[in-house]
Amino acid sequence: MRSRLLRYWWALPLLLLYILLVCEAYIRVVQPTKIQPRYVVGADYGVRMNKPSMTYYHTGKDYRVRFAINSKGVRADREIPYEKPASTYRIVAFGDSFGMGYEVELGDAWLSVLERELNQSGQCNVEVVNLSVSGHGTAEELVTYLNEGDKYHPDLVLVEWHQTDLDDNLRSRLFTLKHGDLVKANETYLPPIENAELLESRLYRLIAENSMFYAWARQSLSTRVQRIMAATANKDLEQKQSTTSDLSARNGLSIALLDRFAAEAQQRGAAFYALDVPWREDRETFTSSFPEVPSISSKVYSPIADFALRRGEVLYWEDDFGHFTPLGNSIVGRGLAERIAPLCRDSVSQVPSSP
Amino acid sequence: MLFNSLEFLLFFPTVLGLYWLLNGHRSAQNLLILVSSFFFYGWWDVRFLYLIAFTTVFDFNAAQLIENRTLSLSSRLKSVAFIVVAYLGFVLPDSWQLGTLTEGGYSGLMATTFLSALVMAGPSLVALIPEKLQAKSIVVLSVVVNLTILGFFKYFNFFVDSFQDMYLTVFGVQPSIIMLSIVLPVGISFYTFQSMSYTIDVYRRDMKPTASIVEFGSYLSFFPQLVAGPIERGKHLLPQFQRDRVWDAEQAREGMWLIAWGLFKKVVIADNLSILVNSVFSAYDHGETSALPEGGGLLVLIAVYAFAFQIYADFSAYSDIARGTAKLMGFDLMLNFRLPYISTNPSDFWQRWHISLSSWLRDYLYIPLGGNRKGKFNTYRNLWLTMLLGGLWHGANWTFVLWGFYQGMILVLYRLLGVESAGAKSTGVMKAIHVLWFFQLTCLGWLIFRAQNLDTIWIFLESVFTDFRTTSSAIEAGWTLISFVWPLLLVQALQIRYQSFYVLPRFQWFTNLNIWLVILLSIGVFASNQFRPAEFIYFAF
Repeated sequence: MRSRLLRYWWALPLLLLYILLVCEAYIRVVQPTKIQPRYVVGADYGVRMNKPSMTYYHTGKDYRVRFAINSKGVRADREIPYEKPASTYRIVAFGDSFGMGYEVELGDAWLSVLERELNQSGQCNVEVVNLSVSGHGTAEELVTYLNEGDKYHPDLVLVEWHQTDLDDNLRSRLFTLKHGDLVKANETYLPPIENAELLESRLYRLIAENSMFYAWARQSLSTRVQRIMAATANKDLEQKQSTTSDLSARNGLSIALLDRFAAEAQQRGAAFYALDVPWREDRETFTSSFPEVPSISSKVYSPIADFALRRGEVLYWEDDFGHFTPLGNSIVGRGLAERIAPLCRDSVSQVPSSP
Repeated sequence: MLFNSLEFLLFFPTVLGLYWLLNGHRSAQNLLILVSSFFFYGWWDVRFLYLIAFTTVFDFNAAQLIENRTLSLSSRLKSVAFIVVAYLGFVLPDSWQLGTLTEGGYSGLMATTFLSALVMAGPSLVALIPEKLQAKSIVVLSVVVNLTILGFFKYFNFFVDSFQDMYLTVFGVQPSIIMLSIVLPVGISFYTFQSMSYTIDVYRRDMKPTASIVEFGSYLSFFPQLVAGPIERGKHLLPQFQRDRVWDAEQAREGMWLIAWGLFKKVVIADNLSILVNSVFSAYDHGETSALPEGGGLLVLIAVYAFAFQIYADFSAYSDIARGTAKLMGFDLMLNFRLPYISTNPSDFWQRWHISLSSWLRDYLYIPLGGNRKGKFNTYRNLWLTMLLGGLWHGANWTFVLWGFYQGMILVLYRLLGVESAGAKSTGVMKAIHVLWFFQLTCLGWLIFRAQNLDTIWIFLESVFTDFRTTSSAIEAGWTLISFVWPLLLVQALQIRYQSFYVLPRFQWFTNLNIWLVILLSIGVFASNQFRPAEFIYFAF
């Protein structure tokens, strides 16, 4: 047996290749999976950021989308200096994959629509800086704002909320509630991310951007790990707050984070707005998971009512975990523009005209 | 702990590694099996471990007394230590609240005291009984105690509820009887029957009792088959604990195949068919509607066929995984399913379906009732009674009683009308007709079994026989059924073709490699689609 193995050692790589090809074929036939490579690295300030200066593609059944990340880790087709240009109303946005504009071209993403709508209104000159990172929750977004977003001197801080943030905020363990107060619990949260050098290797990129099997395996594994981490964090929180229910304990942390976000923005002289991304049950049913935060209740846009007007249309991609389609993005971007326009106008009218 | 869970994926290799590290130290291996089995079972609810410990101590000593009429002092002390440790470990931590004992804690304390006293005084008490009646008295006591525990946990509320309904119907008054909040301990029907068969076999002198409580405890709580069988017999499984196990690569390969194929049947076939079945049944499960199903009679029919394959895939998957894990540890568990859906008649079916239960009922109920030795009428009566109790074994619900009644009825009718022998002797096309016809009768049984209430049965039958529409939902359901059932049918066809349940050795290594790849990928893909692993259907029994 051993001698046979030695004699045919050269066949082992071939066998391995064959196994991988069968796996790839199986996934393509039985469980076609979106190929959405995620190039994230650890930022100096302890949380994940998009790997700077990268260009890659996401592929789904109905699209192939280009992602260009600039040298500061922003999904943008240009460099954006920290210094704010004169007479510009700058919006700095924080979010997850919805914020990054997954599954649509940059121009179709709701933040691009928002920027275009506001600029076309002719009432103010707007620039949107998108600091969203796929996988971020409110806790990571807050850290990103305090360490990176603030450098852009925003006039408005825009936070995108998604139901997954409830668990993401617990799982990250960046913040915790102590006697009802939000306190920093850890300086870093860098869940397993690929080595920066690996992300640049040709072989990795070839696999990550073309293999459905790799995409499926990565997604399945990360979902499992996330569930375990969230369950553990939930358990800890329940034990610490034995008098509160599971849901209120989960909500409590997110409420405090959103509240702090708004307070930090106010303290820095920026306005605050939040987008509540609805949870899609089916084409006609959308629910909100945005927690009750009294301090910002008038500064939240939930597009559920606008979605209801387009009942039956495809607003989210419907395979797997679908993000907004171009139509969904357009509705969200326009809805937000309507609400942010007055803030932008007011801000422009308060700026003294130059001599 | 579920076989199809991440916990088991960590638990089993760890236990298996330790187990073979202890190779050559049989007692240590048995102790490891006992401890890991208790850990496995305690994953659900630690308190119920006390029940297994109680049954272990009671029947271990009962069998000793039946055989020897006496117990050594060391054996008695070990038994008392066993039950006291079980009480301190599994009951007390949960029932000691704010410095006092809860009701459960008191009940456990009483049971522990009673059992300890009984064990210590056992030989003296036996001496008080006339010698001729000693063995019989002990076995009767063992059966009564086992059935009392089973009856209390499984049937108490059912009988109280049924009595209240009957009282209300007859006298027009609702009697005030306390209903207890009783949780059914997982697998209690399985290990209770296994334990009873042991004392009965010792009484019948079919086997010698073991002198080691660890051996008996390992036999009774053996984790591969503890929760949903196969219901083993002492004379088959216990001797395997008494001899050294030897690593056998071929047996291990078969074991791994059984585990993989079992997981495939559970995760890919049964769990996906359950979505189809539940979509049709669920509205009726809770009596939300009494209207005929919107999808028409064809959809109902397809849902019932789907349930037939779901329950088979689900239950046989458990048995396969149990047999596979046992094989990896050097044990051989009995076969529980032999292609049941190619049966030509009810007798044939019961020799192929849940064989460990049907043979148990045959050996410990049907034959003691007289079997077929006392004329036709008594044979039919015994058959009917056995099936009725077999139905009730599945759970405390009138639909199970009706299912048992139905099974008894078709058994008797097949014999009365001579169809049984005609089916058994048939070949070729006639055999196929017998198989197909009997499959319809089996499915009618599954409708009774799956329905949560009697109304659902009538509504579904009305739908099948009066609503002949071919709806789009029925066509879609049909495709779903075909797409998940064909791998099962293909493997069974190969098993028939090669006259073996383990067909892999018949193929070249390259074919085997592809089969393994597809099986493992399918398990991985479909398991990752589930939010959490689904329980096996027979856990409820």
